[in-house]
Amino acid sequence: MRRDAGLSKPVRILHVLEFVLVCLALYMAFIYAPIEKEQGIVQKIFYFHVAAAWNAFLAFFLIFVASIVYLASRRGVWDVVARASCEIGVMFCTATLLMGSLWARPAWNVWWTWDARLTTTLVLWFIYVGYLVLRSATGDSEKGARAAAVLGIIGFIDVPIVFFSVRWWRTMHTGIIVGRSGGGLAPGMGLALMVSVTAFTLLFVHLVILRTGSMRLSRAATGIWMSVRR
Amino acid sequence: MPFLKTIYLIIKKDFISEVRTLESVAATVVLALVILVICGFAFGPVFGDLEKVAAGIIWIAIAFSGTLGLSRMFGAERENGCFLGLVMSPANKGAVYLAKVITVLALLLTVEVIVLPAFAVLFDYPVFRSFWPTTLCFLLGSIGFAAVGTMMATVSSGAKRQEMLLSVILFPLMVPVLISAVRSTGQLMAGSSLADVANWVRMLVVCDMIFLVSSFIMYDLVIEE
Repeated sequence: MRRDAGLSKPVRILHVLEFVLVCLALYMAFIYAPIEKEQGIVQKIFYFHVAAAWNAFLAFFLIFVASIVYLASRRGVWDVVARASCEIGVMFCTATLLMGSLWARPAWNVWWTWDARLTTTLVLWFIYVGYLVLRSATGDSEKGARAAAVLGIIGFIDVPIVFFSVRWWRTMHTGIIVGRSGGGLAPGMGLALMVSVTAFTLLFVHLVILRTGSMRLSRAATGIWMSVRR
Repeated sequence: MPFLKTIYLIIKKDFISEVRTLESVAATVVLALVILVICGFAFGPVFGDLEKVAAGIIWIAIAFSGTLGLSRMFGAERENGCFLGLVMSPANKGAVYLAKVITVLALLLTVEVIVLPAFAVLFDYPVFRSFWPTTLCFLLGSIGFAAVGTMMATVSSGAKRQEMLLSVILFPLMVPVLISAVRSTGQLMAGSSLADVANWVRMLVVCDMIFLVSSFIMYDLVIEE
């Protein structure tokens, strides 16, 4: 048995690089960056919350691109990339929502508020969980891959209209309007955020590569099994 | 075969088979009425501000029963082998899509024609305070529903757990249509004028266009076997 688990050299380098970057991101977030005056230690979640949210949107954008390329080229690998990206994107989207909720409780005194960004993220989560449900219902068939690609494209086109409709819906409703005080990050905070986002982006790429590889192997194995059985 | 004639023939076929069996319409309408009655129980016999929830109740009834109707319709098509016929025919797939959208729209409008008066009677609420603007908003909302619904019903038809799958993928995509439809019709029922809800009407038109065009382009990808 090979000790490198059959991974190519660039992927193994990525392993090491990723480990270093995540450690660095943790250091930057917890030790290097100053503690925020008003929110205190709670604000540390910001570095991971924003990075996870960025990854989720990156994942959904990748599904969109991979779906278009798949429909144009009909090469199975793009279908696998889209699916892998969706699994990982939903994971990061879940993390974003949970971390956001944990942060909202001390910061705004509620677990959830129907703010445009929060609600859009929640709707996105549902759209892409739907994508995964569709994938599990259609199996590995070519028809299922096409259906999923279409959903991946329409789902992404839906994002801006969801955002605008939710925003209007909120502004026409009276209630707590929560403005995130985005302006004016302390310099240390900005740098820590950048490191964290870089680490997360690399983690995303890394996971997509690994998941794509494992899914292709599993499909190949299914193919061999089918031919043996016949 | 010219484009419009294809659409006409498919619609005609759907109407004839629907009128003969009432397979989709009957169940859909009954479900919509049941939802109204359940909402009556859920929100109590005496309402404080009915105008806040009226449009919501009506659209919940339309959306849930409409989804059931959709999956019945496409399920029946598949069982009868009609779907295979359409796939194999040389008909333009965009025309097939538009024909199906119109059939689904007709189903939704039938539900609305029955549900709206029923709501007005059961809840003693003037649904059509301004007739034409309200009709316009219901029509635009239904077009949006039919546009995405037809696409997603085709995507999910033939898959395992088809009915559940359709609701799971359809409702999140429908969020912008539902929000705009509920807001616009709700405000019109509460006595606003069309100018007050112009933004929502614009939003509905934009959603309808986006869903119709994107589905029209991609329909042949989901219909082939």
